[in-house]
Amino acid sequence: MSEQSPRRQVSRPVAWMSAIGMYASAAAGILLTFFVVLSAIMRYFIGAPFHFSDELVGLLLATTFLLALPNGLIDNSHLRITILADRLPRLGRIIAKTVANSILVVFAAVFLFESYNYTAVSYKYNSRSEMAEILLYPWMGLMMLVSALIILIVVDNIFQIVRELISQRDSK
Amino acid sequence: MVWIIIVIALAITMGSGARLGAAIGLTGLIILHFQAGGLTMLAVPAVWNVFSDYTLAAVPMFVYLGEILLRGGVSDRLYSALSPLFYRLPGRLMQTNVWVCMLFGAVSGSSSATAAAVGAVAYPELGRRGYNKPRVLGSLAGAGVLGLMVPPSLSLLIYGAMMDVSVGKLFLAGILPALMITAMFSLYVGVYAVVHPESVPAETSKPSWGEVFRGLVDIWPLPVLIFAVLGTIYSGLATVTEAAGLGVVVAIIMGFTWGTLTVGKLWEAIISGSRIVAAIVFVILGTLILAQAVANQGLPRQVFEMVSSAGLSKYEVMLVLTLIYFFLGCFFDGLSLMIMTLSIVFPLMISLGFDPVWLGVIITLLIEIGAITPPVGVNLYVLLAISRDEVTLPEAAKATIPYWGILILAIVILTAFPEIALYLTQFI
Repeated sequence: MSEQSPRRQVSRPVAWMSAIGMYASAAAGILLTFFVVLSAIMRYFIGAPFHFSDELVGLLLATTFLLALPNGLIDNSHLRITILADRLPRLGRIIAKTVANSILVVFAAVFLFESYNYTAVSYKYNSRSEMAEILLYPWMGLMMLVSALIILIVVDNIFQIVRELISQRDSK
Repeated sequence: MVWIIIVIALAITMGSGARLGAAIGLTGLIILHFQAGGLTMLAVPAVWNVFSDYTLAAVPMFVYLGEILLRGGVSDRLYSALSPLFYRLPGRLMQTNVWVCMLFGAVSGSSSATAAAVGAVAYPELGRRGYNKPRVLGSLAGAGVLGLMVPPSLSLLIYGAMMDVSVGKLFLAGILPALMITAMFSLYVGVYAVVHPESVPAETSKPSWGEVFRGLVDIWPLPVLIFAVLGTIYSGLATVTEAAGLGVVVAIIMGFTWGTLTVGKLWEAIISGSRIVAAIVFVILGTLILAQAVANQGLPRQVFEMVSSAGLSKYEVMLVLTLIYFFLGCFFDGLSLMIMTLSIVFPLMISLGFDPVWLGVIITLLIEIGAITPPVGVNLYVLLAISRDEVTLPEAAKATIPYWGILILAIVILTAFPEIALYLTQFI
């Protein structure tokens, strides 16, 4: 069941970073559409197909997919099954939320580690795409960037909640 | 042991409300680490190879297409134009709901976008004219599933890209079942109106044939868009990805010239599309890792051997699978459910002798039943939001039951006569 809860509470710099990611994802999506249509026109109407377009579209697709992910955490738009967690008592909900956040952080941390290794190999061998010879490691690096941002969002969110609880206690 | 890990992970995911993508992905990583000798490094190439695959580029573009049409006033024009035509059938505007959803589905790849686009126009109009509001919502939720069934379909596209099945054939295979289901929905609406004449408000003035004709002429850009998306694929002029790009361009031109699209609404559509894409993609990311782990451990083969030793016929397996999808469809969003289960279901069903193209159509139907089943039922929630809580969830769910039944009947018919889905595919 997808969650309809309000936006996740994060600090302004983190919110900006994830929003920039979302806009960059949308821009990559627009560029991707542009290149797909342009390459079709060049292929079918001008008879001069681009040799780079399919590979560039693939890389722009990865950018579209990856950069949209962090903002989904702040918007709470990623799919979740909340049917049981929502019915738990207060303490149970806190435990469930802690488990859910831990799953997210551990997953992102392992993915960050493995994507670092993968990107490092690509960097070491200066690997490029087959036809257009586009350098691949900067694009692969997006996986690391997104994983790191996901961890940052969760940690920052916890920090903001704790800070708010402390200030509430102090004001009492 | 692997099965125990999967079951525990599923239980924790459902109990904690963890993000599906992260939970599924972490399950895959745990299996790769503890059961496959620390092979977690397989996770990243599995994700990267699919995420940078040209074929999947059609996914964001079809999502953008649906969002642009939703915000471009296309559904409004379509509904107004077709109302005089279907006003002559028993059930009148309830018939319009069904047929407009089908036509909108031919340019949009998502059922919730279809339900939202047609519902936003139809619900206030039918409510104002005195139609029974829960029944209106039921018809829109039910017919909204045609958005995912009629090509271009996001589920068929993702299914084809992930399982390496021809997307062109899958799209063709969706056409006749979609028409069959539309006809069955239309028949139900008509029969209900004849048996319960009080359910349809008293007739005011019957539209003339001139109005019907003018209505049809008014929607001339729609066939252009359908041709741009589907015609170019089947005539061999464009690949699925190119057709999606062309569809986006035609939808933008149509929205600005024929609809009510503005630059602001277009940007809104792209951003909203990116949000939808992010939600789908996180689940795909996790599933790709789990699929890698599942394949590494030979689970599909284990399932097949288990089924063979149980002595179940292929149709008994199909029945069990249907029940599992019904159950899981109550809790999972349709596309996530399909993506999550494909790595085991696909090899099993293919090894039992089912056609991969036919299976794509059946799985789309199975997950669409989930879209109108509480408590998840995405279409229901989209329409409840449109009704501004004038209709309650139980009322809407009750009104959707006949459409639910028709979809099950469609699965039975398509299982008995798979050629209904496969007939058109022999022409490409």
